[in-house]
Amino acid sequence: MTRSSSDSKGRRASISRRALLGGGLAGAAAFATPRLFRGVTAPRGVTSTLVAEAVTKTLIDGVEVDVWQLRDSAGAALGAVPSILALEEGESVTLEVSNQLPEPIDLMIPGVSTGPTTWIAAGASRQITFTAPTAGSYLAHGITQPDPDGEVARAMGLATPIVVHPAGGGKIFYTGGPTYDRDYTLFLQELDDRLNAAVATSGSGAYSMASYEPNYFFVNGLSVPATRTDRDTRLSNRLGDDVAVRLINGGQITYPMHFHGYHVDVIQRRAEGGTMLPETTVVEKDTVAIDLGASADVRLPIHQAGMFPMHTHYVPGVTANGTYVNPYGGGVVMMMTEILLDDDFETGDTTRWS
Amino acid sequence: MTKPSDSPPLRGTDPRSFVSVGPNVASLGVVMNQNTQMADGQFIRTWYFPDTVGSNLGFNADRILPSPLIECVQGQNVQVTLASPMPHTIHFHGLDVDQANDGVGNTSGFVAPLTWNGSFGRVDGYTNLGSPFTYNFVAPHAGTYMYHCHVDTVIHLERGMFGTVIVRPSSGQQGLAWDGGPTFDREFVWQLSTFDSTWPQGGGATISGPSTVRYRPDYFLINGVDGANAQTDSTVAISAAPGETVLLRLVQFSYVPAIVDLGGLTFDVIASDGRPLAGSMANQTQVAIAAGERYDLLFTMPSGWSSTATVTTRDIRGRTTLGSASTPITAT
Repeated sequence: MTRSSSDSKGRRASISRRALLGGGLAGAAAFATPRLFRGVTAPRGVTSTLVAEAVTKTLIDGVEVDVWQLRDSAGAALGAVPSILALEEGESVTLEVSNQLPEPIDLMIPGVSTGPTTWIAAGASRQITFTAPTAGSYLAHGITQPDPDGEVARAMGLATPIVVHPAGGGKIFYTGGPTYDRDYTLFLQELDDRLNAAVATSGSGAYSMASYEPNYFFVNGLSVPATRTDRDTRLSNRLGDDVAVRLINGGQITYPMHFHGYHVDVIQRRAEGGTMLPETTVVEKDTVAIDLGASADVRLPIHQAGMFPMHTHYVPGVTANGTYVNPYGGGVVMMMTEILLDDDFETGDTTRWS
Repeated sequence: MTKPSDSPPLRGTDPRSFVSVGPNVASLGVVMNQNTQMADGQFIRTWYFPDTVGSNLGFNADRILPSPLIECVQGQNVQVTLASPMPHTIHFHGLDVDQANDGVGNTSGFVAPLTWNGSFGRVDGYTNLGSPFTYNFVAPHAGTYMYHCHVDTVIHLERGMFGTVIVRPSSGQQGLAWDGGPTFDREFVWQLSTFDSTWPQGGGATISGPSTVRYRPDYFLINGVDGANAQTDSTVAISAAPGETVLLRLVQFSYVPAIVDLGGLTFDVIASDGRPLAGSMANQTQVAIAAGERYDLLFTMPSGWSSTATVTTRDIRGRTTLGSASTPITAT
């Protein structure tokens, strides 16, 4: 069965929403990020509202942590599924940024010109207009006055991924570039609960990033086992597919992402700041390191069937506060994405991996 | 497909600075709770896979850390047998083996004694209980790979249950990087690892938890030795005659990244993760290597050369230097 991109995306969203509503903690996301409408209504000349807000999240092990998040007006309705700000190269985009946090912020998109920093007071909002840049993967994140690089803001979760497609769309990395059959965007984040506690009490200047050592880790706001059933993080594929995987680092540590079972073609990478890294040829890797603020677009050729994990090789990052999910003891979180054949997913058979 | 027992020996002049097991066959056990002494006298609790048909030791048949280096030949069948008294696996990192041989407990099963049945998750046809299990795969592209235990990896990998796999070209020729690739006269492998001595060292600390989620290592090793020992170890210190070509395989087992420089000596990065790279990484003076990555460096020893190479370990943010290991590079 071949599905269109829009069908696929729409269905993923609805199933994930059900999983969240029915799944309790298993579906809880640490950070909710906004979903704009990719392919569904295909609004060119995108306008959306982003709300920066503080919320208390219950993590997979029951610990409550105060986080910051960016969500759009549709985000609440779509639940905790993180979204992708999916744009087309060259289009005009307007974001209404509403600051519900207790201190001034601004929004920056490294690699994209959004004008000079203009602080948005607590309770205020402003419009940011920009032109969608060259096709690729980007990051939008908040900054604060004590934290002008947005490191603390990102550690708190105030970030969202942006994917820019070539003008006219299509399953292609960039104009004239390689094609793919289906695609996933994986937004990598983590938190150090000591930082969250300090910032929630005393603001973004209250914690030095030199002391930042995270203890919870997320992909698209989720941890294992939720990543195993969410349609956006469970890489469900067919033999012979070429799959685009966009890895975007919204956090404050390096993610050396290791693929079991496959090498991937590194198509393009962006460094912190959004600049393209020079890469004259496709490089094959089984471990792709995505530094702070960086991104990597890779092509995953599904040359063999099976269930394989994909995970950070900063191995503490596959746990929740150091503890593995079943079968290793604590029953909490692991950041892992499964790569398997589509038919397994269609039958809803998840028993084989529990 | 050639059976391991029919495999031709590796051919050509041996450029290696180390002793390996293979080709194509290895038999490993599990030893836990060893105490490995660092250069400053501190003991670190170490686990490893001994070569049970050879030295009963690890790398180079003269130490327990890292585990033995396994050599195999591209296109040939490889059989690695693991006997374990506790739940462990071998994951062949980068070798792209099939699911049954992938060494992940949840999806591939464990090697464990019968008493662990049902306690450690998936137990089915892949799981081997009560007797050794033989991992079976065809060696892929020539290059540098890793293996490590994938059970409670946070603890098991950090404590030393890891080793390197080198895949030789299909001809079995030593001194050739891959079929049609560059040749070399001498070969070194630097297996980079770290210890965080603040992590629990006691015998009871066998399961990861809140005390093992924050990793800030304070010991920095190459081929299992640190400090002054790394400067004299025969598998680490590089010497070659002027004009000889040297292949240096870098393997990052630590969870945190490092910057490797050769003290000003320029090199070509010819391969990474078991695949050739384009010429865009020629004439480098340093290379960054993250957890799980491998880089193969090629250089020609200049006449009269003497420098100190340094592996500088950074924190997981890449912002702060945590420590380093260094060793001489000398023209003989």
